[in-house]
Amino acid sequence: MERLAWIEILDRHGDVATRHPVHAWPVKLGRAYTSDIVLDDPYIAANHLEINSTADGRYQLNGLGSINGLITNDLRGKQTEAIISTNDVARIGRTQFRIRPVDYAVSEEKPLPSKVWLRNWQGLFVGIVVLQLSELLHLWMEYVNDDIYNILLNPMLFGILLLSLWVGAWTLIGRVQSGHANFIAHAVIASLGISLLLLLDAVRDYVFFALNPHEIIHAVFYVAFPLIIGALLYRHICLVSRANRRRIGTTLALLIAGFVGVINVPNKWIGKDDDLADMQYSRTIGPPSMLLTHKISVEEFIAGAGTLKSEVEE
Amino acid sequence: MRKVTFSAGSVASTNAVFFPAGKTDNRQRGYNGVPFRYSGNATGQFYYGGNLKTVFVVRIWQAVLLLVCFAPVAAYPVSSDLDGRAQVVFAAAKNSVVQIRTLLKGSQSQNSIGSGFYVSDDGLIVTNYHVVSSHALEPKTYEMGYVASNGERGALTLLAIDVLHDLALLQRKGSQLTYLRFHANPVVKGEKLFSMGNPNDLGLVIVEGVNNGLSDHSFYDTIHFTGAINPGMSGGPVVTKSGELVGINDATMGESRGFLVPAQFARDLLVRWRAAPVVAAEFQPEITRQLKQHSSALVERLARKPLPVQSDAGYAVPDAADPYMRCWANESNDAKLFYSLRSYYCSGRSDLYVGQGINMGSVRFESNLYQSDKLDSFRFGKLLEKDYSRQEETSADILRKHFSKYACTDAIVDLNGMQGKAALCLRAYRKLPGLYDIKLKVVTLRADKHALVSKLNLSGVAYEDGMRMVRLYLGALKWNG
Repeated sequence: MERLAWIEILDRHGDVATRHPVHAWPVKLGRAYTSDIVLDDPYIAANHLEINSTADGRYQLNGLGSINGLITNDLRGKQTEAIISTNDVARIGRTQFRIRPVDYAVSEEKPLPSKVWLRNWQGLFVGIVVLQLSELLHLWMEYVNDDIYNILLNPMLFGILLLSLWVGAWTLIGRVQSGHANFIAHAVIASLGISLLLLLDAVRDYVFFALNPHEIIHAVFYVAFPLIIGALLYRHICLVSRANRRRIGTTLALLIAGFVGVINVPNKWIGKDDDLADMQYSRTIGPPSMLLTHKISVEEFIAGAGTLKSEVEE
Repeated sequence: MRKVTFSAGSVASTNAVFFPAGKTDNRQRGYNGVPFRYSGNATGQFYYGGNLKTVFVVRIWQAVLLLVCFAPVAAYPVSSDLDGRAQVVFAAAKNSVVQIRTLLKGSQSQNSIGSGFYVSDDGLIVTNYHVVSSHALEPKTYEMGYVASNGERGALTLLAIDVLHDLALLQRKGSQLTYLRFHANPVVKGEKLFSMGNPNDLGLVIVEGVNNGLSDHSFYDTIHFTGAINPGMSGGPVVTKSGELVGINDATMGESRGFLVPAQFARDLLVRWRAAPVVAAEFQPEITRQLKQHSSALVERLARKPLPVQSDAGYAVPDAADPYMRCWANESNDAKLFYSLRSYYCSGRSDLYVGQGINMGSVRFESNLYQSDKLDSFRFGKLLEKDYSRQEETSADILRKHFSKYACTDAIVDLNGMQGKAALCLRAYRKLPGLYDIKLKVVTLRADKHALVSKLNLSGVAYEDGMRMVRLYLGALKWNG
C-alpha cells in the first residue's frame, strides 16, 4: 500500500513527538481503539476527528462530536470543521498535530557548527585562564600592602567558587530542560563573559581618567555593560532551552531594558530618598602620564562651581 | 568637648544606674576629650586617638591638669574658710539660679535640661544657646520652662540668642527679687570661682574651681575653668567669692576641664536686648544671620594673607592659618605597606553648636603625603583614589533633617604650575538658607611615586566665604622641589 502522508503529533515546543504514516484517507483520530491513530489525551473524545484530503492538496478536518472540538492556528476559536495546509498546526484537546504529504520539501542539510572549540577542554582552559588573568588584574590594583593571601588568593578562590556555582546551576537547568548538561560550554561562556565585564570596567575607569570624556563616551560604556550581560545570559539560555532563539533574544532584551529602566527611575518618582551622603565626582586616579586633558586655572575651576549653589537649592 | 546639658539625647552609662529613664547629653563639639579626636578617620590607615604621639600629649595634659587640680588641695588640705565661703556664696546665689527645661509641647515631659540665672529684676534669665536650641530651631515642637530652687515652675519666653558665644536670653513673667550682678574687673588666673547648676537633674549644686584664664585655640574667647562641670549645669552661673558673675558654664572636656563663656558676652546680649526689645516669631533667620556673621569673621581672619605652608618632599602642605588653629602630624610606615604616608591635620575650635548633631563654622585642613618605591603607577594611583574618594559618614536622620544632597564639580587644575585633580562638593542647610558645607579634595598628579592628597573641609559657611577659602587653599598648593 502506498504511503500518502504523515500525521505528526507535536510536543509543547512544536517538536515532533510521534509520527504516524497515512496509507488511505480518511483517517480517524480519537481515544477509542477503533481509531486509526489512538491518542491518550483525556481531553479528546473516543471518536474525535476525521481527516480527508482535498483536491487542492489540503486537508479537511471534520469533528465527530466532541466537547472540546478543534482549534486551528487561524485563531478562530473552537470549530467543528476546518481546512488546513501542510504547515498549519491543529489542536484537539491538548494534542497538537500537523499533516505533511510524502512529497513535502524538507530543508537543506546544515553544516556542523564550526565553533566546536567552545565545547572542548581547550576552550575551557582558555576561558579559565582569561578569567583568572582579568580577575588577577582587578585584584592586583588593590595590592598595596603585603597581604597576598587576603588581597589576591582568597578573593580568587572565592571567584572560582562563585563561577562553579553559576556554571553548576546552568548545567543543572540544561540537564533538566533539554537533557544536555553542556558543562564545558557553560563554563566557557561564563568565564569569557565575566572576563569581558572585568576588563571593560578597568578600561572605562582609565578612559574616564585620561579623557574627562564627553557624555557620548559615558553613554557607550553605560550601554556596553547591559549588552554584555545580555549576551552572556542569551548564550546560557540558548544552551538550555529549545525555544525559538529570536523569542529568547527579544524576551531577554526586554527584561534587561526593563531592569535598567527600573534602576534608573528618578528617586523622587517612587518616593525613595536620595543618598544624601553621596558625592558624585570622577574618582579614578591613574598614572599622571595617561592624562590627555588640559588643565584649567583655579579661577576657571571656581567659576565652574557657580552652578552648584542652584543645584543644591532645588 | 561635651556641652553640659542634660537631655533625652543619648545614654551615659554613669547615669544609667540612677536614672534608668534619664539620659545625658552627648553632643560633641569638633574638639573633644583628647587634644583632638578626628572622628572621621582621615586615611583609614591610622586613628589619631590611638596614636602614640597623641597619647603622649594626652598624658602630659592629664599630668598638668592633675597638678593644677591637686596643688591647692595639697597646699591647703582642709580649709574651713573656703568651705564657709562656698556656703555663703551658695546661700546668696541659690535663689538666682533656676533649672531650664525644654519641654515637648503638649506634654509636661522634659526633652533636655540645663541651668540658667536671673540677671535683672524683671525676670530676665541668661543661659546657653545650646540649652534652648531645640526650641529655637523647632518652636512648634518644643517650648521652654523653668523650675526655681523653691520648686516653683512656669513658662519662659525666648527673647534673644547669641549662637557665636552660645548664649540665650529668656524671660519669666513678673518681677524677681534676687539676681546676679556682673563682676566689674577681669578675674586673674588662679582665682577661686564657684560654678552653680543642676547636674544630671540631681538638684542645685555648687562646685569650686579655679580660673585658668582664656583657653588657647578657641576662635572666640572662652575661660578655661578647672572644676567639675557636669551634664545639666550648662547655662549655670560661675561667680566669684563675692557672688558676682564672671562666666557661664558651657562645656567640658571631662576630668575637671571645664569651659565658660565670659560674662562680658552675656552683658552685651543684655544691652543689645535692652536697646531693641523685639521678640522674633522665628529664630531661624536670626540663627542664620549670626552664622553668616561667624562665617565671614572666620574666613576674614584666615584669608587675609596667603595660607602658610610647610614643605614636605617638595610639596607645599597647608599649615595653621591663624593662632586659633593647630596642626598635627603623623607618619605610618608599617613594614607591610608598600608605601609610606605622612598625614597633616589642622583644625581649631571655631565650630558652633547649632542643634543636635549640627556643628557649624569649622575649617579643617587635611593633607596626606604618599610615597612609594614599590608600587607601579597604576596601583599608586589606586591608593590615591581611595583617599581621594573617601566619604565621611553622618547618620541618615540628621542628613534628612538638615541637609540637601551634594552637588560636585571636578577638573584637572593648574596648581601653581603643578597639575592636580580637584573635586569640589557643596551641600546646603535646609533650614538655614545661604549656609553650606563645602568639601574640596585635591590630588596632585605630577609624579608616579609620590603625591599629596589634600582636603579642605568647611562646614556652615556662606558661599562667597567658602569660595574665598577654596581659592586660598588651591593657591597654596604647589611643588617646590
